[in-house]
Amino acid sequence: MSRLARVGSTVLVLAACIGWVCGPADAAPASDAPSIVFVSQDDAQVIAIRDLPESLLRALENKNPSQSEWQKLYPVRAVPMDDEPFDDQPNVLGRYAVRDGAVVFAPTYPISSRVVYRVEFRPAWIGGEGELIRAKLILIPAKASSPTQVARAYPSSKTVPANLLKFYIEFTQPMSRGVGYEYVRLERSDGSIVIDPFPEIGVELWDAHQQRFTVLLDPGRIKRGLKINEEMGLALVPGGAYRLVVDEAWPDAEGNPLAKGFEMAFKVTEPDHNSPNPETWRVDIPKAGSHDPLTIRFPETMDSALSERLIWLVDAEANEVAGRVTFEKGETRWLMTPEAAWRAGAYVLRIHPRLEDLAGNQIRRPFEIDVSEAAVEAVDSVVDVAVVIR
Amino acid sequence: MNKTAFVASLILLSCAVSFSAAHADGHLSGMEKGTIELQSIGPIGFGPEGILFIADPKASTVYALQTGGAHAGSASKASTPHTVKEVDKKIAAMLGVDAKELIIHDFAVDPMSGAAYLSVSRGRGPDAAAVLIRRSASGELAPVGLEDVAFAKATLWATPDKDRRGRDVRQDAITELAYVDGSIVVAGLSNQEFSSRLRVLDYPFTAENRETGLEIYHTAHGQWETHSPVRTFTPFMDGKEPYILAAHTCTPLVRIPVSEIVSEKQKIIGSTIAELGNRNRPLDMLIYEKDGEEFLLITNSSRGVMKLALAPMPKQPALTEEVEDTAGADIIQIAALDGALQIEAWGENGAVVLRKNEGGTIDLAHVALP
Repeated sequence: MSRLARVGSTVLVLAACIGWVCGPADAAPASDAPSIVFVSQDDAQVIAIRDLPESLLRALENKNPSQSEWQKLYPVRAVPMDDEPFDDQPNVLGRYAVRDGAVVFAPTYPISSRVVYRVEFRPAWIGGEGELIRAKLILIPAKASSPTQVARAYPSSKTVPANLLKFYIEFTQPMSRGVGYEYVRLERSDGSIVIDPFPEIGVELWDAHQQRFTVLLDPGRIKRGLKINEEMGLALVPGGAYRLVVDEAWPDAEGNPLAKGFEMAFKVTEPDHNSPNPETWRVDIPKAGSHDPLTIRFPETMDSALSERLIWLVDAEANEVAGRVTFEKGETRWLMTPEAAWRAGAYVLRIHPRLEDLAGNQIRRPFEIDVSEAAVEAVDSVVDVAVVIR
Repeated sequence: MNKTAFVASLILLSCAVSFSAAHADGHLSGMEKGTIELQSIGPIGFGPEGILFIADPKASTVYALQTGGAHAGSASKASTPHTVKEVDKKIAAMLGVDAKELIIHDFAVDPMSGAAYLSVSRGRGPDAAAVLIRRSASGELAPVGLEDVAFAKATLWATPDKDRRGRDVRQDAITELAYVDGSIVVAGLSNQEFSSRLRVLDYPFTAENRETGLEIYHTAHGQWETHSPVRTFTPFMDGKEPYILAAHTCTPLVRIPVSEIVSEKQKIIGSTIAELGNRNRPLDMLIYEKDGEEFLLITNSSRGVMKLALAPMPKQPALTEEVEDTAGADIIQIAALDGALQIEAWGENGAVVLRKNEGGTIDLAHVALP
């Protein structure tokens, strides 16, 4: 780190640690050399100019500059690394004050570690003495970020129907939003890339933590009778072998790329146009007193997120049983492991009619209805399955 | 008069005064002063009297903010339209981030004051700050303070899908919001079920928000009926009848009478008025009149703006009838508007667009309507 020189020259000052007051580490500053540093104040990082002459500080307090005067006196601009400020670049929004013997700039929004702060102080603007001083500040977070990667993707079954509607990709930490479609692709087994399988719907579909990303396959290409299906055909062709590929360059919420890329291989079978039917499911009932899971065995892979949310177990008093849901065998098994040991008694497994299989066929209705055929009898209420635990 | 009568007449007088005050601003009553704490921000749109509706998708809430535009007077005809090169870089600079870290969600122009509003996220992580930016008619660009403002709010889809034991809940991405004839229509797309919900809220918000959670379907060749998420829509009047034109994640453009949306129906079939073809990813729409005819402009995420004439409108077909693919719709590509993402009307024959420029950054520009 370099010493802070006084007049007019630009110096790279220092990378500060959160919560510390930092100054040039390798030299005791001359007592009358002002320094521009990050300082922790009221649980936030602010920029402070210290060791200014007392007379100047008093003159500032007396003058009480307006916001636009402060911005000329003490401009702070945020510039991406390796970049220069652009013409008429506005200042960073924030509030100025003389406080604790320093002139402080508190930005409205938190200091970002991904830009360089170009700070200037021009005492001449208020007729004060002292030369112009400048600094470039970069904040380096005290805690190094750990790398993010794909934890898993769904459906994890070896085969999927040609009219598969979506993938879920789960990450170990929050991701950046708004750039996802650049980093996910579908490849055939020969390495060729499927063109445009995912509609860019403008909004990305994430869970609240931005750790699970939902990728929809273009339903227009799946739906029968639509122009795009007739012209471009199915993205997934029955009999074909494909890979879902996630590019490691996808930035996480901190702006860092993934530790590594991700691939999931699968084969494609004929389209599935049938609604899932709970009557074809089997339930493995655990013993009273155990912590063994209650298991539902589906004849086909079901949508993971929906199975987790839309199937639940209640006891004889209609209280939901607390537990954790996991999947096995390519999401053909739904397992509920209870928090407390099972008590003997009557339970009800409740299944919401909006539960979908991989092709978007819901219990209550298939994904596509041929209206020229007889009306489909819809199941529109929750399906209850009685379970007795002994 | 005696004391009792005096007091009684005072009470009567004060009741009379407060009664008339409550009815003075029809749409602005029901608002309280307070601070709007946005968890996130998404689509925005203007209602009457300078009221800006703001969607907060994470909080499943719509806010109605009194922007004061009604009192600023009608400046839009006199003031210059908004032209700002690299508006994304300027906003990012003010907020202290790289322009790559700024997401601009939506854009709206106040027809009363001429001010332009942008809903943005500062950052791409889950904790990104939600900011509402205003560019005043005089050109000042700054965030809108949301402390101590007059506003009202309503919660969307506050029903069984939420919060059972803190497990992951359905998170809806809100794709569009518009004020239509006394109601706010909000389109949301689930991150789990392949469905979208079109929610209608009365405005002014009532104690029981009437949520018509209906599903939109469309038909192709009169045969296949499927659930169809609405990506963007725009209101329009066909004579005296209010409609919305809706563009989907699949391609057809459909029209839906607002009367059906606010009815008790659970399911609506939109009637297709145009098949927009491959690779069309509609972002925004604008209806305007030129030389006595009505036209629709659609902006696209993959470049290119389309224009189509709205008349003649096809009649609502029976389900089993064939729907012509391009009934009354010649689609023209408007090269001059290439790159336009969002579009708002401005003045008599113009529009203000949010447009991606050659360098990949975003400009606010004034254009003539084609």
